[in-house]
Amino acid sequence: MTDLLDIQAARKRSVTAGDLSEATGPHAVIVGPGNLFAGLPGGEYAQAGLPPVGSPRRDWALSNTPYMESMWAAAIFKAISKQVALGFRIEDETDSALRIRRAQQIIIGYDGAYTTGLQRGLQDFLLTDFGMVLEVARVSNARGSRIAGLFHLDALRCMATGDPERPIVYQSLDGAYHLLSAEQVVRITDMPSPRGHMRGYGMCAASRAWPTILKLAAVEIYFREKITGSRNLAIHIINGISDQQLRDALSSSEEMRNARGFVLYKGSTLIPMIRPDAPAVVTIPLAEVPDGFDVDQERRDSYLRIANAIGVAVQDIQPLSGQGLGTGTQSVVLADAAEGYGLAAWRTAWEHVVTHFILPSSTTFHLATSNSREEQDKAAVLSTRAGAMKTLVEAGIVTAAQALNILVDSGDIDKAFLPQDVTEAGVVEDDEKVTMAAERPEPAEPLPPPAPQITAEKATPYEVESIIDRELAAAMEWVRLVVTDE
Amino acid sequence: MIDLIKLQNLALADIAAATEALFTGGNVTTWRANMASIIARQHAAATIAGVGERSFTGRIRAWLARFTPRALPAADRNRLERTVRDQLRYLEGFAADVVRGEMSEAQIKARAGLYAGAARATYSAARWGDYLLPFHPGDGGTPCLVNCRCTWDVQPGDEETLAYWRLSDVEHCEGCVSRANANPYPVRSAT
Repeated sequence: MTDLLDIQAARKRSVTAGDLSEATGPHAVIVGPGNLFAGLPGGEYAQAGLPPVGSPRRDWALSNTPYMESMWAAAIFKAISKQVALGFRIEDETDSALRIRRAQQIIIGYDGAYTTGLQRGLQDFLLTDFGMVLEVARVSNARGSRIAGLFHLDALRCMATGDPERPIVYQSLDGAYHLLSAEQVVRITDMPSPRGHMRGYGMCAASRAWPTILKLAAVEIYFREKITGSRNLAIHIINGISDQQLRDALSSSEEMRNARGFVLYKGSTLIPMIRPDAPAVVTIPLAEVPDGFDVDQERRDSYLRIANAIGVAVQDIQPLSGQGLGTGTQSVVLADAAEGYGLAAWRTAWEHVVTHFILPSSTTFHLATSNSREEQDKAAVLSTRAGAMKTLVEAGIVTAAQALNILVDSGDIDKAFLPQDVTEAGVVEDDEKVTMAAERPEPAEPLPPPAPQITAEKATPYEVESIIDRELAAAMEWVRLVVTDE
Repeated sequence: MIDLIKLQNLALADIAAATEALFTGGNVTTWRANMASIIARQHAAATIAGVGERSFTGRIRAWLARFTPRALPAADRNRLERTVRDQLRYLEGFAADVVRGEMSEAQIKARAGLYAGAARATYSAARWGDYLLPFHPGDGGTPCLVNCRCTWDVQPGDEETLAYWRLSDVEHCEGCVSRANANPYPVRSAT
């Protein structure tokens, strides 16, 4: 882990220490001062009857929204697959192949396979207010022990304790409860609530898009039932026709339900009335779209709301079709703008978590975002900056070596080209780490070629007790040599 | 007080000599037997020194151990046998790799030298054998592995006994810093 500020120690000096509760065991989420019953968030039901904010039942409902509406499911799929397809890059300041390989093994092995773990984690990030939960399994319970692997934890089986040193209780499928320390678990939540009693619950994309999901689902269901006639959508009272006449007119080879006084035909209830007036129809709608309802416009509005809720550019949900070049240009601008919000914030959080809480101090993790447009932008920036350096050198303001140092500092040129960085440790970005000179190990010398063939006879098993007994006298001699009088 | 660096250097010298002999006409069987002897000797020395520092009775037991291994407390002897057995299991894997010829001379020497540092955890476990401590320096649970220079400082009290993980005057890995940050550790007696 990066040598970060000791947040736990700092929090004990903060007035928010009184907001915390100590989780002494998994039961802390059930009993004790900080338990779920005592610390339940406000019981306000959200719009359209979702369970209370910050409750597992609400997350259960939200996590099932992709099964409610297909466009929402497709939008979630697109958003997640785009992040998974990015890939990643691992860098080590000491160029240690061992560290890079070890880091790669840990990341690739996330929940068995990086793409699987990321898809599962992102679904929880987008579809639960609890957020994405990642277990950092270690080789022992000792603090600071080496990482064995990273695993996805089902957010619906996690409970927040309110204790920052032991933040989560996880219930495994065998029914056991596991109290996880801050070293064992990481949680990334979308829009974490600023309310102290919410224990880190946030507002996920599904929460933001819930009314739109309901509306889209209702529209789809209405049109499906209208087309298939699978539900009674209206009652039509027909004047001037007898029951038998109506039946004869509507008889068909499909199944008909025969009830007294009315006829059910393809989803509409028809009630014939014998009256001395001219034939007429009065319709009583049971379900219909309101007057002036423009389905296309409503859908476009819904897609925009979905895109905003997830935090992606709207053309990721609704590609352009049939529009002019001006719209295409706007699309590029919108896509660029989308890089500054929404899931871009998740990318930053993910990079921070992996870099600063999982990998060693000299190793950094980056999601790969390179594409041809970005490469062109980088080349343009390099060209501009190099031109500026040339001008400064020719004017005698800086030397060529100083110009090289400036280009290395700005990331345009690899630091390997710089013999000595005279501006070291001036600035560190959020996705970088500063490794002090004392921490950098000396590079290993190249190994010589393999030794000549070594012969061996068949190995005999060890007799441990005999070996120890035999070596005791020599061991006593060593003790005599190494024990001091301190 | 034991100087663990000296103990490590004694083991290193013998390991270097045994490994050098391997490359000057020796065979793996002889090398393996010599390595097993050195490993047992070093861990036995660490255990005896640890027991001797524990108490006055421990000093007597440690002195008597030169005559019979049964002078050591049963728990310490069992722990010593377990540790040596584990180390020899690693040595078996090492010997198999040497026979396969996949390692260079320098790699073999470097890997053999690692066995010299493993006694630090053995000494700590023997020194503080009266208490149930959660881990020990050099037990492989921290990134510094057998190079750990940290120590325990157990302070018995009237109501409870507290153990402190002490960082020495060298640079530390994140694991040891994390262990030190969690001080103190309430510990119970092993009996």
